[in-house]
Amino acid sequence: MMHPPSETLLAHASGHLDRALRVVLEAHLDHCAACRAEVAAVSAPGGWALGALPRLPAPDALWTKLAARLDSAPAADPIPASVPLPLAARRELVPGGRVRWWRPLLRGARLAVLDRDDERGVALAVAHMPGGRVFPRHRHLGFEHAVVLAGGYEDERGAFVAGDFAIYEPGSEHGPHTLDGDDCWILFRLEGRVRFRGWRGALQRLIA
Amino acid sequence: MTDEITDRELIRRIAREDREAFRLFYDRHAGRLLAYIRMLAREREAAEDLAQEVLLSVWRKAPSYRPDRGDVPAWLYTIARNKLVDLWRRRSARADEDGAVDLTRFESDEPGADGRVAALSVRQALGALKAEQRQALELAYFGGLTYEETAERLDLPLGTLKSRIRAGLAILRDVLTEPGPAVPAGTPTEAPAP
Ligand SMILES: [Zn+2]
Repeated sequence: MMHPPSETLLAHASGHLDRALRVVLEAHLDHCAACRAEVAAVSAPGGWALGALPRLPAPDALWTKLAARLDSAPAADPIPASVPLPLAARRELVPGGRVRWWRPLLRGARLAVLDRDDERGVALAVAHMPGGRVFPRHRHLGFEHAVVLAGGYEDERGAFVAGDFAIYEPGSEHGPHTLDGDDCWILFRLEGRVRFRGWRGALQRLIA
Repeated sequence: MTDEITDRELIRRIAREDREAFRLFYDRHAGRLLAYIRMLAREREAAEDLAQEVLLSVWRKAPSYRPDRGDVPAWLYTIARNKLVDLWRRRSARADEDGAVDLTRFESDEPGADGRVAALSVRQALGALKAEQRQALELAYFGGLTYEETAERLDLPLGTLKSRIRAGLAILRDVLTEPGPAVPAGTPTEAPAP
């Protein structure tokens, strides 16, 4: 299996990842016992520190507010059940909101933005494609962090299947195709834009 | 002590939306959680709001909790840290002037909720860490700075900072898991998977 770098796991345990990356990482953790063990190891000192603090009484007023929130909080996340997104990743997203599917410039593929931070130019999205299809060649202008949720794809770096974690650096370019067979679902966090090659690139610039 | 419900069992019940279990969890952990957040949040009210967000996350995330990703306090710590850093990012506001949480502040003489006498090992841990590792941990792991800010403060390349944090954590882990006088034999613990 392809894993995230261990510093990403450390950053997760101590709170340094943004929400989009947390969702991607949680999707990997759901598939990977080795990385779960690593997260357990690097978060243990934090739990120990919490446990070492004096056990103060918690204010009743806070409990009252909290109980009221439980009554009014929407339990469901905005992602349809048909998306094979693990529960831990779903629960990282804010409840409410609505997912709108978007069909990009190729047949049979669809894309939905699940979360975005416009200020920092970060988007979290899920792509769904049938097996055995070619995805147009494109260049990443910023980092892309991706996890395969189901099915698989292959590009110049090799084959990626469910649970695999991939990082594409700014400036990297690839032309993936989905593996034959099951539908492929990819969850990814994108910084900056993606630029398509060829006529799609021309069209993209025209409609941007 | 032994008939006390374990954290793990509480989370299992919370996952089934058992509010009584959630109240028990609250009584056991909210005070300490609040104390930690207060070390890092500037105003008292902000700290309570943040603690509320963290506890709401516990309620929502309980069904997805897996013991092999850490014991319950470690899981809670990660949730709290994520909420804190999210807030700092939004407001670009800082806690203390210097952002550090002195490790000696975790030194209390009370036994932990799960029976661990965790605080006693703080002294051992402090003795085992190099000054530079302790400083990195106090700023970026326990304290209120992002990695970038810590690297800038200490005038270090990001990679060096991260390796100091990793090395420091490994030492803390050794002290924590070492069977020593800090944890009396027979104390019920909820250790993470090895
Ligand atoms: Zn892994």
